[in-house]
Amino acid sequence: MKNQILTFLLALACASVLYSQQTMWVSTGQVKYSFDTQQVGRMPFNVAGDTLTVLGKAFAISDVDSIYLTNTQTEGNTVMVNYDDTVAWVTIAGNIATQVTPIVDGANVRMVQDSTMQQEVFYTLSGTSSNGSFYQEGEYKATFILNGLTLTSSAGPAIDINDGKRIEIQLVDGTTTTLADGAKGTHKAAFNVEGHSEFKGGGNLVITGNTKHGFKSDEYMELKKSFTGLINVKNAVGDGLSINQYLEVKSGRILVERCEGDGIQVDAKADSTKVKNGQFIMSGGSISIEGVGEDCKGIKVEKAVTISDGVIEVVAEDNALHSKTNMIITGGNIYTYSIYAHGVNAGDSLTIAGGKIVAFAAPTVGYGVRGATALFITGGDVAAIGALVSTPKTVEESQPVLTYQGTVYKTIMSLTDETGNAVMTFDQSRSYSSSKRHTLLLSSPSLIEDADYTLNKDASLNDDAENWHGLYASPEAVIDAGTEMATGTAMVPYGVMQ
Amino acid sequence: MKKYILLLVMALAVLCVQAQSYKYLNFTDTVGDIQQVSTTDLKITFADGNALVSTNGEQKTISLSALDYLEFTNTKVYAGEYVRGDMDGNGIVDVSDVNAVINIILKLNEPSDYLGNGDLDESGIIDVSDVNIMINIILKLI
Repeated sequence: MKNQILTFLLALACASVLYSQQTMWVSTGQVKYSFDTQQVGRMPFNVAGDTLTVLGKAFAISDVDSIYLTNTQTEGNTVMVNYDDTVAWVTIAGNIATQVTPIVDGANVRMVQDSTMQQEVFYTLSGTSSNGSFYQEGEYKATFILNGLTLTSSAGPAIDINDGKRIEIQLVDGTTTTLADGAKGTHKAAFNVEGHSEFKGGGNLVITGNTKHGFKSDEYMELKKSFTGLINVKNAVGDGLSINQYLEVKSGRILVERCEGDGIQVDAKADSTKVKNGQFIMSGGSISIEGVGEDCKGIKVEKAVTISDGVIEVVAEDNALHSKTNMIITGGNIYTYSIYAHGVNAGDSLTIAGGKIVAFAAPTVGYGVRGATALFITGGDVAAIGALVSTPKTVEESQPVLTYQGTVYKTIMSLTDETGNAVMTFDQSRSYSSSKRHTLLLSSPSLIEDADYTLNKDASLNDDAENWHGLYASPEAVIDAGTEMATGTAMVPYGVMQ
Repeated sequence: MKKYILLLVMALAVLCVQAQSYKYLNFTDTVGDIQQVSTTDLKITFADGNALVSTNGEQKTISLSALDYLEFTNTKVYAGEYVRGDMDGNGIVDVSDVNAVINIILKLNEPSDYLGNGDLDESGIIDVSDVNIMINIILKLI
């Protein structure tokens, strides 16, 4: 008897999750509504016979082009927008028809969610238009699925999400979405999000910001662990990415090819209680900044920076990697090249506890690595060069450091121990004037405190040797150690080579 | 009891594998008269106060004036007037119709003008088998 009752309950559960496979479509101009015929029940006319109401949505008969059926399943809580050159076709799931209002003008689409909406809506954008846009307004979390959309707006953002809640942005695997905004506008970005943006998926997003920023998120931006895609700013009049509150990168790629502002700027919110306010946190993924504006920074962060993994490659006119407060690097591969300023710069303390860091700073004025109040090196492989570097300070577990100040040649430098083994090799590929003194800082877990080392120039390498932007950590990389240019003792907090 | 539970489970299982779609669309006016159309290849457009209905290769024009509502159904309407199984003329098949049929069987009521609606197996008499069919209609099993 028990088994039979259980079987009955199972069958009942089965029946209760059935989907209808019949959809009623109400077509009104560029907007169609899809209704599950199992849900519509009675559809009343008004007394005059000029209005038909379906699931609470009143349709003026004069607006209805046709009503028809298909043997397809209706997915609730969805909005599909497909751009087709000068028009956009919008499909709205019937169960949200009373709470989502479309305003469609050619290929410019505005979707206004009622403030009473308490369900997540899933918007899918696709197609192509060279004169279109998408705007959404709401007060509840929403998801935007970008499915190979190509959208250029002649005025205003290409995508503008005026919803202050959690905004999930899915880049469909295998697709590329390309966005560009109108020039000389007053808006903030080609792709603007009022709320907090979370990226998922494996597709590509290519953005051009013709008025100001490429992408702006007024609250935090997260690249989730499930994000395997690429956010590529081709060009921006402002910053490549402009983020308020915090940027957290766990996976995926960010590439800023060119911008006239900072590559990535992270600002703190006025409300200081906001979580991770003003911070940049990276634990995976990669960021490449290839070109920024005059006097602009590569990655500019108003508060703290924490990097535990991932890859960062930044070329900038001003500081390449910059935090206004503390910076802590415990892992990851970091390459910074500043044309006129510092390579890695922290406005407070800089702690390097792991990872591989290669930092080139400007001749004459730039610091390779700089902590305005303190520099602590407790781990990692570090090669930093500039006019100066910050003087490392001693803490528990400080790692030995060697510094050299003098003529720095554009050459492959090797650091050999007393037995002649190359413990570090650095391809110093930047030209620094031989008439001025510059500073090289080298540190590695391979250095032994109080051991003597020789700094050599003109070393030769195995072409296949593994390296991070010219920093080789393996003795097998060197074929010939080169000729001696200085000697010194590795010490904590640092030793000086002469 | 065992037999009925197993039958119910089988019926629900059949429901699981069936496509959930309606066969008919009713246009019901304010006095309860119904014009029913098939949902096969159904398309409706509107012009000059009329619904222009195209279905199953046929065309039909239905005036919008005095129309009360549309409703999908799987219950066929015979002779364009009554809903099969509708014993009290309210336009739908529900528990009150089951009670009406049972009362007829128990000879508590005389058959009404809707007698034809109660003889669902078209056997010529109203009996328990008609009650079973009526229940299946209510449960949307047929």
